[in-house]
Amino acid sequence: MRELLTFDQAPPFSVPLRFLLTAVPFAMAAGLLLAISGDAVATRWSGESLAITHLLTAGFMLQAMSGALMQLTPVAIGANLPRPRVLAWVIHPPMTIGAVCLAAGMLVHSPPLLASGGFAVAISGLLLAATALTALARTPARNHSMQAMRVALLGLVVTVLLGFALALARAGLGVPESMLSVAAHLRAGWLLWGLTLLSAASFMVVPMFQMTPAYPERFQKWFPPVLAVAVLASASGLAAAVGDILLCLLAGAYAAMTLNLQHRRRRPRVDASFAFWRIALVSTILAALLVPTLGWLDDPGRAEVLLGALVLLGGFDSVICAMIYKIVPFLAWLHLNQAGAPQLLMHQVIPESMMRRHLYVHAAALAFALPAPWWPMAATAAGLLLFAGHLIQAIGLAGGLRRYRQRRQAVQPSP
Amino acid sequence: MSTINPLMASHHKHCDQLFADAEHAASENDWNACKLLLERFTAAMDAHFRAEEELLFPAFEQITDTRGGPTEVMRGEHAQMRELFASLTAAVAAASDADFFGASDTLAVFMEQHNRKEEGILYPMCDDRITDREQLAERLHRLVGASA
Repeated sequence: MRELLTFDQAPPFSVPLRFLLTAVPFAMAAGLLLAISGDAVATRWSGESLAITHLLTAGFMLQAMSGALMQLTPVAIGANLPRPRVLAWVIHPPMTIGAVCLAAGMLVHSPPLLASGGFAVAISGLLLAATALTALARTPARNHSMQAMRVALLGLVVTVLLGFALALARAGLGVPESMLSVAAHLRAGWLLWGLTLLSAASFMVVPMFQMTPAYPERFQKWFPPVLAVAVLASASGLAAAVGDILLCLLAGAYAAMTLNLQHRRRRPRVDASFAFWRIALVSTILAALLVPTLGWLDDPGRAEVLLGALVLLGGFDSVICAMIYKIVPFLAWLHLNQAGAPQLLMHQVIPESMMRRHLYVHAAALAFALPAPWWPMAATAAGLLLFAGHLIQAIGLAGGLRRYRQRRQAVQPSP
Repeated sequence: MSTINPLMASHHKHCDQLFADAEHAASENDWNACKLLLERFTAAMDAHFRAEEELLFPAFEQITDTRGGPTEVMRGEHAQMRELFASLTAAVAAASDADFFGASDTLAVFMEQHNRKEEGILYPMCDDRITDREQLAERLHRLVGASA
């Protein structure tokens, strides 16, 4: 009952906002690095490729997903994170500095940067996971998003621990062989943490944003645990081939089902956020189709980079932008409204025209990123467009925040 | 036995449909139709809010002795939604699709997260704890049914 009594404990705006805002410069940095990497992105093992990947994953994705998690866990699930402002202050600095160090360490092959960056990201990820798992265990609410979120948080734990071990090994420090598995690290990161958290959010926000039918009960119930088993089978090598096929089927099924639900939406308007969603889902299906073909190629190195582009730029970057363009304007309206400030409706926070401009630039960036492993000039174009798209996003967010502050100050000085 | 949750959740869906109908009319710039559909939607929502504020929430507060708790939060959210209804009505009067969809976007997200909290936590607790829930459901049905 005590949890129920506080089930409206939305965290202060600054809590999710600092993560969502910090995410954007990481994507801009990834774009700039991609623009100057040229032929280095022909393989995923170059310092440049690893740095770009981790700017997008440990930087952009982890920040944005942490921000979304800190907002959705209490508000949509009813699991209150204790002292959210303190938690954000504790988690956010090491997560940010850690991701910068990690990416820089990979780029310039610096053992101290690799070790310290890996440590800071791991600590912040573990702290976030432990706090959120505790809050989920205490809430009386029971729904499928909660179960998916639990699996995702366990995925985060596995991802950062394996990632830390790999960073230490790359830094030249002795790490037990059993802890060193890139295959397990990326499957845990992409699927167990990334896709499962996305599914948890989707179960809540897809029907909410577009008034679609709900995901089928059985899908909501079984998707996260089956995905977890498939990741385990695939990453442990027990049934790697079967596990990978099952993972592709699951990722493809999630994306196809979401596309189908969105097709049956009751709301008529197709806005920029919705178009970002569609790019993400189509990219996920293409990625799921590409994985089984990798085994047939004599030299899958460049195709693996293509897979990375589909998953990271096409999939997660797109869907995170779709979410940011709904969550930030909505929270700005909500917090102003609760403070009794003059109303600022969602379309007045970030203009639709600006989001649409980002959408077109993002789509162009993705179109150039796909041939980039074979064509260095395309990598340059993709990088510049990726940077430009997120710069538009940063300007849009800054403008929205300025309008928020102006109205907030009309009732009392901003905290 | 569950009675309140299915009844009220079903009325949420009914209201959602009316809301979507009004949005469809606005997307076709048919402001006369939109005005009528919006009036039907706000009437249904008003009936829903009254049923909750006059019957369901007092019953919940009495059983759980939690005045000022979750039901107060829900009342506050009702007031916020009423402000958004006013913004929608003003947008229709001005035939402004930018203002209409700005307000409707905000309302859609707010309304759905409100419904989720009610359907996920509040209604199930009402079904669990209120002993004469069938009688209460009947009275709720009379109030919200009138707007359907």
